[in-house]
Amino acid sequence: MGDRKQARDEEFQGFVIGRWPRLMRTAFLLTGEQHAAEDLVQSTLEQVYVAWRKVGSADDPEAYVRRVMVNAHARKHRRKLREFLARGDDSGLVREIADTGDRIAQADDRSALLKALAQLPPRQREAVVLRYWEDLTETQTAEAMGCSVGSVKSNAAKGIAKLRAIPGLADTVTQGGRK
Amino acid sequence: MTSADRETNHHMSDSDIALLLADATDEVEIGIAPYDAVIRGGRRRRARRWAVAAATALVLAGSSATLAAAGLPGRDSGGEGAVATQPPATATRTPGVFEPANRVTLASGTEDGKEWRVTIDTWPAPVDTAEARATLNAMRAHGEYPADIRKASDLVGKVAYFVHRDYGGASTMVLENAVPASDVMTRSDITYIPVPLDPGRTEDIRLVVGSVAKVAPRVDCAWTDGTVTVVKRAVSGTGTDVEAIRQVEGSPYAWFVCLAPKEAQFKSVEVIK
Repeated sequence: MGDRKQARDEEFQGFVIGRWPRLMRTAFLLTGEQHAAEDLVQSTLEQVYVAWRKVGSADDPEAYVRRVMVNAHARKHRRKLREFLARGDDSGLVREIADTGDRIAQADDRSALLKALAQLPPRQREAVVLRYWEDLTETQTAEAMGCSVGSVKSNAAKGIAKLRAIPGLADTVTQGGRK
Repeated sequence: MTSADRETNHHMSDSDIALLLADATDEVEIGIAPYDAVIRGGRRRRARRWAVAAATALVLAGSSATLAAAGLPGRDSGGEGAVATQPPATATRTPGVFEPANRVTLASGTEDGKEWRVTIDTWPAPVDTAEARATLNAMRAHGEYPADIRKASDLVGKVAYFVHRDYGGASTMVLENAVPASDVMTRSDITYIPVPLDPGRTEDIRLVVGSVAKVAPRVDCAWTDGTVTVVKRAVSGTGTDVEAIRQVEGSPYAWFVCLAPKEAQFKSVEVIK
């Protein structure tokens, strides 16, 4: 019994250490901020620890972790419930991305992208990050976000359209990427 | 090539955006995984869960029959075709006096031999900070807490609600919020969340839970198989096995639940004026 618990603990430790970098990167894109990202990943892993007996033996623990993280992220934003839920429109919720030319011009694509990402409504941000950074399928993204595939498509399309509207990014894209 | 490219056949910029996102993650300092802190936090969460369970059991043991009938999380009763749980009659609000949540069953049924149920707990708006504090303590004991309320005064004047989906004995909170008691939705407003009926089949989004204006006459839920479920206002005696728009005492909104046929999934939902 003790051996089994120890094995489970070691397994969890390996999971935490192994997944930490990737989770931090995802959380950073979701939150846009270092400390918020650390908090999000840590609280996600705490919840995973509580359920590790089940999660560790599941076929796809990654899916569970993603779901917990996206839920935790979404909970932070439930103040604007209409934003959180698939309401069909996001009028009044999206601030325009347009900025003074100077700032965008001098900023590199990275900061412009992060800024634009931070301005997306949470559900659009989640859809974009999961689809384009985590490279999940629409079905996997829907699972992580707890919504329909249609909602993923809609949120990802709106989010991407806004990101494409960034002047600096548009230039980069037309040149075929930065790297 | 990203899965986004493969699935949607978007232009190349999808890949570029993926590259830019990857590049942007270089901004974050990864650091060393705080394993010990995670373990400490995880143990605290586990202890808190046990404490909540113990507190709930105590409330159950000491509660009146009315409170038990109103239902506490995970303790709902009834089966197929159960009649809507009526909230206890609430008289006028007395400042400073805490009132427990009303639990109302919005829908229920049986599928593949498993009972399912969607319930809503509505907590009356506290009139002052002291009452808000008492309400928050009671919420905690029920295993409920509004995510956006950081201090007791934030809850003053707000109704908190928690919607649970029970399936085969497992209860999951699918929706929660604290909203001004005076909030009014317009006739065409709708707020909804599509979720799986069976929490074990996360790809199977068949259940829709939502709120509409109290005066909304009809909601149409459309499914991927082309069928539509028409949800009309409940009348006296409408059982919870019938999909209906229900008034929930204490909530500024009316609520509905609809379920897709088997093999179909959620497509869209709209208020029909």
